[in-house]
Amino acid sequence: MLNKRIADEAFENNTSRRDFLALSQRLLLSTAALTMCPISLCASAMDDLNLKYLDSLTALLLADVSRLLFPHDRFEDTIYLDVVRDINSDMHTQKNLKTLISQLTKILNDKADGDWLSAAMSKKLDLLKTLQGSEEFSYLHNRTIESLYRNPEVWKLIGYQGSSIEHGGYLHRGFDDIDWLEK
Amino acid sequence: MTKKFNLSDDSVVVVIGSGAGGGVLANELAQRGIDVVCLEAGRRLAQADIVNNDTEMFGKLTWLDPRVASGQAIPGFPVWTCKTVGGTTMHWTASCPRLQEHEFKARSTYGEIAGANLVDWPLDLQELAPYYSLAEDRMGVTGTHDIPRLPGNNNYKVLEAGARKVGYTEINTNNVAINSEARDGRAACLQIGFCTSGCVIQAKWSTLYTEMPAAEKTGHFELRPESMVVAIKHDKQGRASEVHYLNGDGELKKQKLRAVCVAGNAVETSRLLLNSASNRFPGGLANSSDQVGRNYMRHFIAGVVGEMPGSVNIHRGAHQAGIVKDESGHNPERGFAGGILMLTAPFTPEIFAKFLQPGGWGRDLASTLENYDHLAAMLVHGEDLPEMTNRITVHSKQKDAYGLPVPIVHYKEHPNTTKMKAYAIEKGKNVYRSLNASKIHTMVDVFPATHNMGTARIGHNAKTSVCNAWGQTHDISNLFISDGSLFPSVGCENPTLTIVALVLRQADYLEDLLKRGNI
Repeated sequence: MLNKRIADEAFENNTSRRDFLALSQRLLLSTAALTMCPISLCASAMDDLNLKYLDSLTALLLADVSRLLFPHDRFEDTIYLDVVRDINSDMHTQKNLKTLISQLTKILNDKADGDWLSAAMSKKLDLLKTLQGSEEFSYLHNRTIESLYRNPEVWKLIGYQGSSIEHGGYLHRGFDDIDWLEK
Repeated sequence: MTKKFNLSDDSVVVVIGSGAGGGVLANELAQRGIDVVCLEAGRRLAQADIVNNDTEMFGKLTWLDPRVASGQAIPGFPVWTCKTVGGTTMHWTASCPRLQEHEFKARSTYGEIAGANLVDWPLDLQELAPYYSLAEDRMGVTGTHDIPRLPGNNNYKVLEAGARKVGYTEINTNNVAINSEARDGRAACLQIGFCTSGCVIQAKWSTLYTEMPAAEKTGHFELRPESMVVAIKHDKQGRASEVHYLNGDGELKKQKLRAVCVAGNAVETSRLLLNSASNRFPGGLANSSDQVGRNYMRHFIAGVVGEMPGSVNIHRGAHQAGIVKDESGHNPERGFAGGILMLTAPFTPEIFAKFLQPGGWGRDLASTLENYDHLAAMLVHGEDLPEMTNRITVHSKQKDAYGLPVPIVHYKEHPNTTKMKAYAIEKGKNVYRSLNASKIHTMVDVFPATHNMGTARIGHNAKTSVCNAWGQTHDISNLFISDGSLFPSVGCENPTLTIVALVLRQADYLEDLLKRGNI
C-alpha cells in the first residue's frame, strides 16, 4: 500500500512525466510493488526504455531475475534496468540470443504457473535453483555480473574507486590509511 | 634511428617474442653489436593506450586466439598470456623473488616422487647468482642494489599483521620491479593499482618501454610487431635457416637468419616447434628427445579472501608488494615436497563476483560484494612438479585465424600439488582468522595459468632434455629457447626474474659462439 500511496502523491504533486517514470521504475521491481502495480503501467514504463529487442514484460522479468541473482537492497531499480539494457545490446550482436531469451522467459513463466512476476519470492528462488547450469541461466548470470560489477554507479555504492591515475594514484590518497589494526 | 634489415640478410639473430625473455635477450645482443630482428605477434601499444580500465586492457593485452584445454586446465582459456609488444611484462605484477638454492636441486632434495619427472637443474644458484644480480639491477628490483622497498599498502598491512599473529617472520613488501624512487628514466610508483593492466606511469618494468627503445637506439635492432611466426625452416644440414611469419596484412614473409631464439611463452614456444615439423624432424624441431611440450608446469594459484572488521580498500596500491616467505622452504613434515609463497593480491568487484563462488548467486554472495571495501586478499602459490603427461600438443584438425593448428594445453594436478594446495589455503585462512575476519572465502582452481614453464627443459642429456644448460637446443645448434620453457623444475617463485637471468646468461654464451664463428 505504501508504494501505491507514494505513486498517488507523486501524481498529486504534479510530478513531471519523467520523474514519475523514474519513480515508477523504482517501485516496479520490488515484489510488493509488482503485485499492486497494474501491468499496463509497468509496461508503459518499460516502453520508455526503448528496448528494440525486448518487450516490456520480458524486460521486467529479466530485471526481476537479475535482482534476485545479486540482490542489493541499496541499489535502485535503475541499476538492474541497466542489466536489461545490456541484454538488449547483446541481442543486437549475438544472433542466437533472441531464441535463448524467449526460451528463458517461457521456462520461467511456465514454472511459475504462467506468471513469473506474480510468483512469491521464495518460489522464484526455488525455481531459479532448478535452472542452474542451463545455458539460459549461465548467460543471464554472467550478464548480470558483468553489467552490475562493471557499472561505475555500483562501484560508488560498494567502495571500489575505479581509475585512479587522474587523481595521482593513492600515494597521497589513502593507500596505507588503515586504522583498525592493533599497533 | 631505427634499423631495417633485409629479409635476405642471413647474418641476423631472429628473436621470436618481445616479453621478459625475448625483449631482454634481443636488447642485450643489440647492445653488444649483434644485429637482431625481433618478431612479435602482437601490436605495439603507445603509452596513451594504457589506461586504468581492466576490461579495456584485457582486450588490448591478452592472447585471445583459441587454445584448447584438456584435463584440469580451465576450459576455453587454459592460460592467460599476452599478445602485445612487451608480452606478459605488461600484465605481470613485477614480483621478483629468486629461486632458492635447493629448488635447483629438486630431484636430490625431494627424492623420487611417483609420477613426477624430477631432475636437478644443470646449473645451480651460485652459477646463476651473478645473472640474478644483473637482472635485478636492470629491472630496478626493490630490496636489491640499494633500491628501497616500496611502502606497504593497506592490503599488505593486513597480511603483515595477520602473518605476525600466526608466528611468521619473513614478511616484507617483496622484491618488485617497480620503482620505489625514480630510476632509469622512469617514475616512482604512485600506488595507482591496476598493475596487471599495464603501468600508466611506467614505474613497473615492462620491456615495451625499457628494453625495446634501448635496443632501437643501438642501430642493431629491428622490432616487427604484428608478425605471427608460422614456422622455423631448416637447411639440408638441419640448421635453422629461415623464419616464416605472417605480417599485419597477412602476407607470408621469410626472414633469413644466423641463429633463432624462441621466446613465445611455453604454450606458443611449444606450438611453434611442433608446428615446424619437417621430413627430417617429423616430431617437430629440437624434439628428438620427445620432450618438447612435455613437463608442462604452472604454479597452483589460489586466492584467500577475508572479510575484515574494518575497511581495507584493497584496490589501492601496488598489487604484489607484500609477501610472506615462511612457508617457502622444503619441509617434508608438512606432507608434500616444495614450498609456498603468500602474496598480496587485489581483485575487482567483477572478479570477486565471478570467482568467490563460481556460478554462485544470491543474498550471501551479494552481501560479500557489498562489503567490498572490507575485503583483504592474498594469492598463495607453490611449486608444481614436472610430469611427462602434462603437455602442450597441437590439434589435429582445429586451426586458428592464421591457419595454424591450435595448441592443446593438458594439465592434471599431481597429488603433491593437491596436498600442498590444501595446506597453503588453510595457512592463508589462518592469517585472516587471526585478525577476526567475519568470513573467509577461497578462490581455487578458477584462474587460468599465468606462470607457464618447463616445456623445453634444460639438461645435460640430449635424450631426456630439449636444451643444454644455456638454452641451446641439443638437436639444432643455432636454435635457442629463451623463455620459461627452459625450467626443468619451477620452485615456488614467480618465474620472470629467473627467465631474465637465464637469457642474460644465454646472451654471454650466444655472443661467444657467434664471435668464434661456431654458429
